[in-house]
Amino acid sequence: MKIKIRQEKDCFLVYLLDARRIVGVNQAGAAILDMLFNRDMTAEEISQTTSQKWDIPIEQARQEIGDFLEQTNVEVDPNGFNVLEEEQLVAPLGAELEITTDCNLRCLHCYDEVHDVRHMPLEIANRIIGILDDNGVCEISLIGGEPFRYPWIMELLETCQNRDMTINLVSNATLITDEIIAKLATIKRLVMVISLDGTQEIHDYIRGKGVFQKADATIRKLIAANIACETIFTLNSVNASVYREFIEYCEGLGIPCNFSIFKPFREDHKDLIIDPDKFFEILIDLMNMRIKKKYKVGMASAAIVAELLGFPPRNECRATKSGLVINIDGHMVTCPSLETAGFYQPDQLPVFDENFTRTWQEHEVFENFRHSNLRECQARALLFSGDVNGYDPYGLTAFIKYWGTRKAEVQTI
Amino acid sequence: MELPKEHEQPKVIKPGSTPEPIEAGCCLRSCGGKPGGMQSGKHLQNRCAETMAFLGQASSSLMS
Repeated sequence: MKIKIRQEKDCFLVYLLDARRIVGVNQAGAAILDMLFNRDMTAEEISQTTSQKWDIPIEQARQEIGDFLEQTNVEVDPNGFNVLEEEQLVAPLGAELEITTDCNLRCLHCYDEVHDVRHMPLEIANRIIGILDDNGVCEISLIGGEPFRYPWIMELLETCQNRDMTINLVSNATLITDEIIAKLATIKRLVMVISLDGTQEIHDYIRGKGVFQKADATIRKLIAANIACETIFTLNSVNASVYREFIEYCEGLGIPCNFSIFKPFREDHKDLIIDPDKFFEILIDLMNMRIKKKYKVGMASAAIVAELLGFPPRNECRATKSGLVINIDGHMVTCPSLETAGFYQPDQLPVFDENFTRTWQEHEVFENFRHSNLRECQARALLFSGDVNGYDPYGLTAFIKYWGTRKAEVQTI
Repeated sequence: MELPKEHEQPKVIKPGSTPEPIEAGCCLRSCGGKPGGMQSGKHLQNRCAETMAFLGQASSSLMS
C-alpha cells in the first residue's frame, strides 16, 4: 500500500492509492502517513522517531499517533464522496487523456462525425503522464476514441503503473483479446470502464449488430481475470426503457454501473434526446435503488443528488476544480463537451507543458469556466440554449421545478 | 516528507469524505469519463477494507 502527498493551500492532501481515497491532514500527519505507508515503518518506530524529534514523552507520541491513525481510518470508508474534490485545488487530482480518435464502432450517439484516425505519439503521452505525476496528479483516465485502437496502449499503461497512477480505461470492450486480458491483469490500480448502452437488442441498435455479445463475453473474461470492471450507460430516448434491466444485468455480474446523460452534438441526434422529466424520474429511481436496495449505481448528476438528499450544495462535475482534460493535440481543456460543441477556437486552448498547474489555475479559459455556473452543466446549457450560463434542461434549476410539481402531485393524491 | 521542526499534534484537518452515496462524476462527451460509482466496485471496496485494517492495526498496536 502506498500514498501520494502534496501540499494544498491549507492542508496536505494525502491520496491513498489502492483505496482511491483522499484526506487532508497537517504536516505532522502527512509525515506520519508517509513513514507508515511509503517507508514501511511500524507505528511504534514512528512514535519513537517523533518522540525523539520533538522531545516529547513516548506515551504522548503513541497517544497522538494512535488517535490520528483512527481519524484517518474513518476517511477511508468507501461509502462517501471526497469533499476535497469539490474545493479549488492547486493542481488537478485527476486528468483525462485523449490518446486516440480512432474507433472501430460508429455508435448512433457518438459526438464524432469525422472519424479520423489520429493517435497521440507515445513519447508525448509518456511525457504528459510524467509531468502529471511530478505535479501530484494521482488519477488518469485514458480515453478515445477506442483506447484499444491505440497502438501503444500496453506501453502507456505500464508508464502509468510505473508512475503509481490509478488508472481508468474507458473502452467499448470489442477489441480486447485474451492476450490483452492477460496483460491487463498485471497492471496495478486499473479499473476498466466499459461503455454499454442497454441490454442486447438496444445496445446493438445503438452500436451495431453483435457488439453486445462481444462486450458481454469480454466483461465476463475481465471479471474472471480479477480485473476491476465497471460499466457506463449513456441514457437517451432509445435506452431509457431498459435501464432497470441493465442494472439487473450488472448486478448479475457483480459490477457497478454508472449513468450519464446523452448530449446532442449532431443534427441527427435529435431523436435520441431524452425527455428531461423522464430523466429526473429515472434519476430518482436510480437513487432509490442505490440507497434502499444497495445496488451499485453511479450517477453523474452530483448537484441534483445533493439537493435531493438535503446535503450541502455540490457542483455538477469536477471540471477545473480538481479535474483536467488533455486532448489529442496536447491542449488543456476545461470540459471536453464544450470543446466538441465548438465553444473554443482552436488556438484558444493552452498547450499542456511543465507549467500546466499555473496555466490550470490562471489561464482565462479555466478562469472563465470557474466563474460561470458550476452547479449545472455548461455544455448542456450551451447545446440547448446557446449560452453556457443559460438553461440546462437536465440541471438543478429544472430539477427543482420538476420536484416541486412532483411533490405537489403526490400531496394531491 | 519531513516532520515539522516543532511539535505538532497530527490531525485530519480536511475530512476527505462524508457519508453520502454520491461521487463527483464526469459525463464527458457522451460515453465515458470518470465514473461516478467507482467506490462501489468490489475491488475498491476490498482495497478500502485492507487499508482500513492496516490503519486499524497500526493504531491498536500503540494502545496495547
